[in-house]
Amino acid sequence: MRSLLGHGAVLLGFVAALAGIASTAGGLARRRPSAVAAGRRYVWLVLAAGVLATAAMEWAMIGRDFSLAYVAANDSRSTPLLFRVTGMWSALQGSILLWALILAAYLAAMGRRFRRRGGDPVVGWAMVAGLAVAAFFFGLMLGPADPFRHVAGAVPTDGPGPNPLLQNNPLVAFHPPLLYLGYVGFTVPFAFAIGALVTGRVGESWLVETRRWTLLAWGCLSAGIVLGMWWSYQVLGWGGFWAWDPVENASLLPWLCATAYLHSAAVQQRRGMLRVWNLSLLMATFSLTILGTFLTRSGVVESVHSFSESTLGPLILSFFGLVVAAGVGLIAWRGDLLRSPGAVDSPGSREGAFLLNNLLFAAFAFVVLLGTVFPLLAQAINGQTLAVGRPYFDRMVLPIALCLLFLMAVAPALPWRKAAAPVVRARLLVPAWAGAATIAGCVLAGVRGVLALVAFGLAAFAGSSALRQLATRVRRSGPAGLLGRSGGGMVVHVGVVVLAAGFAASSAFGHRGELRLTPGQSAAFAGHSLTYLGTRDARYSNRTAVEGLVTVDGRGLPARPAVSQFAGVTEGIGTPAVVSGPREDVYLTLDAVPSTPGGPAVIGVVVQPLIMWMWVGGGVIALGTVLAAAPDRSQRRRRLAKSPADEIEVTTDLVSGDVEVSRGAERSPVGVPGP
Amino acid sequence: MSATAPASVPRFAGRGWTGSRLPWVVLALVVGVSLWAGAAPRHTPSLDQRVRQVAADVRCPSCTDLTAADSNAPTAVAVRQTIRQGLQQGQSPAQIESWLAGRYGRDILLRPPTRGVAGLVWELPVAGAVIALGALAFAFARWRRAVSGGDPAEADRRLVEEALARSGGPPGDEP
Amino acid sequence: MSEVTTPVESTPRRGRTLRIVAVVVGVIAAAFIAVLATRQPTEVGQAASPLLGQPAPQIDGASLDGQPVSLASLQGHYVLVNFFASWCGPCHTELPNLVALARAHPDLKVIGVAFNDSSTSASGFLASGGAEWPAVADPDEHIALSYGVRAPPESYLVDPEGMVVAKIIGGIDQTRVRSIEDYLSGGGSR
Repeated sequence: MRSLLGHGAVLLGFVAALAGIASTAGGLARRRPSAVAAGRRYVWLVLAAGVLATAAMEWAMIGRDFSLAYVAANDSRSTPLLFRVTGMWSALQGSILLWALILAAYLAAMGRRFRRRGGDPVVGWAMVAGLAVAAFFFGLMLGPADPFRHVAGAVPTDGPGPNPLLQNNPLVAFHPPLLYLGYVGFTVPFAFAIGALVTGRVGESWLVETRRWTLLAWGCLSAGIVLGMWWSYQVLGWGGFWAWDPVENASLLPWLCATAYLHSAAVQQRRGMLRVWNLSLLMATFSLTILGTFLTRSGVVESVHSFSESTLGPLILSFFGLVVAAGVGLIAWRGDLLRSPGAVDSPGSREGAFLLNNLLFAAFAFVVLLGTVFPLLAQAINGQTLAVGRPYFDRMVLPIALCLLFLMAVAPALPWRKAAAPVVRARLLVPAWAGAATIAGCVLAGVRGVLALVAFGLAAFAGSSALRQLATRVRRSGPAGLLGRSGGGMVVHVGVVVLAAGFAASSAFGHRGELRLTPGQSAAFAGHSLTYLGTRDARYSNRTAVEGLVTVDGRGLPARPAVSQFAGVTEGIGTPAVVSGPREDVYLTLDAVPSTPGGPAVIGVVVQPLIMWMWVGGGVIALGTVLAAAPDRSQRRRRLAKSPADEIEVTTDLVSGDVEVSRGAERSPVGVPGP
Repeated sequence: MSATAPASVPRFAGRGWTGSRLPWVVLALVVGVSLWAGAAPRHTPSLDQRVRQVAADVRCPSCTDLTAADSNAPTAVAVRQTIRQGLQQGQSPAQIESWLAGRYGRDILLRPPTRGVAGLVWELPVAGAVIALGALAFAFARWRRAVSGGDPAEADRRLVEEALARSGGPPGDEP
Repeated sequence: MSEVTTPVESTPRRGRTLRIVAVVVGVIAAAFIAVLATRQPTEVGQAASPLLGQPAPQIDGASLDGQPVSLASLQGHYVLVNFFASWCGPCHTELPNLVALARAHPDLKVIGVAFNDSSTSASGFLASGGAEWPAVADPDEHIALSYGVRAPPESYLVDPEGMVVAKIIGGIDQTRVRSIEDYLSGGGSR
């Protein structure tokens, strides 16, 4: 019954997507706006199909319908409700279903948002592109990734439940959906880019119209990545949060490209330049999400996050090839229209800084991509098996990250077009002194290590530069100064800086060790005193656990690092305990359970300074993204009325990314005589 | 913030603002001295530190992506123990790594080699960065030639006026 | 709603450059996809090991029940060095196959090496399956490291000359039993 409903829904989604493509494309080919607009209605069918299929799957998961192979493999009688619900995306087929559902929702939102422009060819072609992606994912579920397949043979009475690491922490309910909201969200700007290229209307309006969509996707992806770090920090038990694992890299790659795009899109909106580059970045962002799916779902790279081997590989790879071919082909075909007018006058201008920023992000993405796939390349070239891991990424990424911090500090102070040195220096003096004071203060406080000091100094420089910008805006126009691209963008910068500081501190000054303690014994570790009280057995609905009781600095309830035993898994799974604080976290694991009652236990300890600020920074980034998406019209009016001395900044905001302001209006470029 | 109209300011003229250079010189001094004083003390690393340094380049055998320095899995502990014994017996890190690679294969080492085909993983990003920087410099040079015709400050002024006209009203008085 | 893209009197050179770049990007992408398409999923089963064809690392010590065990003393026989643990699921599955294999081929010697396991649970595990071969404890995982073991179960077949001839990752199932028997019957399947 549920399988029938599920199969029917998937089939409906696939057929509706194809029908939508046929109808829209047919209308476009025959230049019949009404037919184009009619094609849009199919997105509602696709959405209904996605919702129905998801409902069928959740119904089966919650109702423990073990006649479905997916449920039999990822659910169990002892799994609590929360993890039965999240079990839908704890393995391959269900995660494809989640992808399809989110994509359908995005397409429906797109259809609704642009309902008055149904006949517009750009919107029409964007619909075709979006529906094609939907058809691909629904098609996967018809074939090799069928989530509603029946078990072979007799229906089991119980299953193993989700992977233990996926039923250990409630963050499993938030991280994957957020990440997917990010990944999938880039389909919308991608689809519009395709629409713009196909119709040849490659000006700025498609870019302005998709600005908020891009922001939404970027914000979700950022929040999803940070939440993923937090989750792996709390669950994996090694006290870190990022291991340069292929799957982690796969989520970072689109983020890097999208971040570069957000910045360079500002240049195009303001100056009409960098058209080819922006289109390329969007194509790269989208195709890298598909490549990431391939890398993590095909089993060609080893990863803690990858699902068991599947037959999806060739299909996803073909789709990746198709996306790349379409992107490159269209850009080359439209090359003549994409010639950008205008010029960047000076490297020391806002647009010059954006270009450098893009170069750094591109280098960052290249390093991450190369490092991730290099073992495969080396094997193909001369059969060598080798690994590229943390030492490589740390070494290569560190200089790029420091340069980015520096640029983050300087760029907001640079005016568009051309920098007047005294103005820039006046704007940078206080932030620069904040950075210098931070370095000096850290040294006085006993912090040692040049790289960490430079990182802290640059973080303070960048952070106070962003705060200075925000303060100027708020002084001029009140709280509304926090809105819009510039306001929200600076809030995001503050978040990134906070995150970077936490990252630098925890990776440079973390301590790790192991203590062998008998009950009642205390030990000092990195400035903390730890007392081991003994163990106790605990029973939860989905696991039994041996918990070690450890008090940290003699305060509060004892922390309880544990070794958990999940039903159906013979191996014990470590469950760490974290005592969090604004200064540092004490992260405890039970590395060895006492072999005899009352015997010594081995407690793993990791002390991570300032790591909590990484999660705070992630929250600030999310907040800033929301602020950046808010319109800053009132802002614009008020600023005009007051007209501050800085003329150049006025123009910045006049034509800034507010959708309402510049929709449909193609500006003639500045600096080059108009036609 | 300076109230000087940007158009009237010589760009990077190098004179006329000597007075305001002082805070920057002091700042450079402060940063320089702090970094010098804050450099990590240069004593020979302890055995523990050396073990961790070597282990940071070795994959924990039973994990998929952690280094032997980061993990407390039994195999990672064993790797650290082996490294410790090797160092105590006077072996070089390279000897210890090649012993491990002889048992597990080259992919137990997380730092790719710098020579041969594998060296490309180090060289390509650097080469790419150099090429990209060169291309950017070339682009800037071309743009500079392209704009040297008109007066950009004048164009700015035009843009402001145009925009003000579009938004329907002149700016109010300066505060 | 009609949108005008600014026509710019630009050199045709730029369009050509763009196309050349596009072709280069396309070629690189195609080569990249070709490489990815020809990769095999990381394999499970008989695996490459730098130890193949090399002398087997020595195993010397006391068995779990106190008898001396030495790999070197078993020269002249095929020896299967089996890394196992009582907490490992696939080890439970493979044990009956191993017991049957050892019974059917008295000339094949088996040495168990307990991986991250206490002596009592390791010997209890072996006894529960009726295994009669000696097993050694490996408290600091040194033997496992010297063989290149990542996680149990893993097995290494050592030939009568003391050379490692095969490494088996994962539990020993019927197919793997047959390939071990191929070695024993002198053929040696590769």
